[in-house]
Amino acid sequence: MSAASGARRRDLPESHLISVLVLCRQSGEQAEAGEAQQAARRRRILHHIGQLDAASADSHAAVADKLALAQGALRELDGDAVAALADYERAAAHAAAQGVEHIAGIAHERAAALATRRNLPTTARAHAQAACRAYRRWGAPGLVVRLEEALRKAEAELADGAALATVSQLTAAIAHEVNQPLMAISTNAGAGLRWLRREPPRVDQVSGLLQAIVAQSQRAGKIIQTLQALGQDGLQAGSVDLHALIQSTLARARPELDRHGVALALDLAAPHSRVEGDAGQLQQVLCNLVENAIEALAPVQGRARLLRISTGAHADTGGGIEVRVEDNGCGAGEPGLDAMFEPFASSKPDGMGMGLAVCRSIVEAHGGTIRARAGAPHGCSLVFSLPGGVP
Amino acid sequence: MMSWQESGDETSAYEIGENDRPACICVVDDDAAVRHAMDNLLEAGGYRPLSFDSGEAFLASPDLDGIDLAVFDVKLRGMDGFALQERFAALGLAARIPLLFVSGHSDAEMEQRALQVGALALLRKPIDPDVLFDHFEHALHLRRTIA
Repeated sequence: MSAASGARRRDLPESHLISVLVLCRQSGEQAEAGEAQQAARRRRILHHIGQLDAASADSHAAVADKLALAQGALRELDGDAVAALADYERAAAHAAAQGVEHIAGIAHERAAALATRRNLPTTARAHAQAACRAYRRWGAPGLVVRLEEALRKAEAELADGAALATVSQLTAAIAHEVNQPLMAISTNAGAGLRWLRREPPRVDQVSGLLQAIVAQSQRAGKIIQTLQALGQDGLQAGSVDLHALIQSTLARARPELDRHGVALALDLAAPHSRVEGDAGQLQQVLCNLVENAIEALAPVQGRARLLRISTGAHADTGGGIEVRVEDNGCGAGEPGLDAMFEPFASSKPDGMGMGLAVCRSIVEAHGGTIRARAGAPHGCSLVFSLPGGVP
Repeated sequence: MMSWQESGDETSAYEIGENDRPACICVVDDDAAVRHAMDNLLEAGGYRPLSFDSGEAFLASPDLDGIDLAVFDVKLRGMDGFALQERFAALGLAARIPLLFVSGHSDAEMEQRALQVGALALLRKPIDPDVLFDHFEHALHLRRTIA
């Protein structure tokens, strides 16, 4: 290869993409490398992405997939998994539209690996399958076999790795979240003692502090309950009437609903409301969804606060049941909807961000799915479906 | 190193924490329950509380000149406690206001870092109110010494 052809080769969009992927991998693997070295590497990554960006201005259709893939790799390196997944999906879509199957395959493969690491098993599986299809279309059956093997192995390894990461993340989160109410309790008690030691004692100041102590003890207890629900493995299977479960959940939440002036609309229209599952866990899902709705409704001023719970036959699965919990509160906007289900994704001032992650793991363990939609014009609806509603 | 100790400038000329003027202790914590409890504890202890729910709100406040002691939570929404400390130092506030960090989850490394950036200590939540007041008094004593 002559020097001239070498120079041309380096200018190919694909070369820039490969440089970005290699540099990102080196950066990720050598996180402990010196700051100067990492900064130099980052400058090179940005240079290659800049080249791709410039090339895409000339021929968008041919370069958009590679640019998106490179941007995804950088975002993944920066720890922004949600944005990286979106980039990979964009890259795969552009590549598929252009029939560039190997880029589609790489984009799906990276998305699958990232989703597995981030504990998004459904997303991971979908991308892994799409990667296999793309490589097969590309005419690389050997690659498909290798990928399938690698994915099986990776899935097992990553499951271990992800479990470890989650345990250490969880320990830090527990420590932090339990220590907050404990701090509030101890500080309130200290304040109470000081008011009582005044001459004359300021008894009037103390009752509010004691109430706060009660509330903060409950808050700490609730964190422990959430963790217990998360730690439960294995379903206590039985036949569960979801309509009865909804009624009993609402009976428990009634004082809270009244206190916040939330109007309730109930439309339990599913013809078959029985599912196979764990009543305690399914109740936890309903409780979390109702509590989230109440928290989203509490700050609402100037319009009625509405909570609507409805059920219906699930269109896709025939015998399945769909449960919708809708509010017109100040819920997440469209962009935050997917991230809501990730652990530690709280948008609330004192939330640990485990509620919806727990909901998702319970619903998925029951063979169901859960998703969020932004309400129009306000609020948020959480919809989960479970298979096999039986009469 | 206590950077605020190194200069006793004209801004510290007034009396601090003397009978005529309770010391103003400023708490930045994004947990509302902790913030309210701290406000109450400070008031019960005879201090003047001033609290903010974020570093951004703290930096935007017009009342920073009156602060005698700052208490930053490390894990804040938005900028974290250490980022806030950097801005605090860049504004020249660290030179005259002693700083304590508090955290719900810390390790030895984080505590070292707190000392390195010039804080008096990093205290782990939950903090015994008596111990907390000992730290406050120590910090305010140092503050009076320079003033």
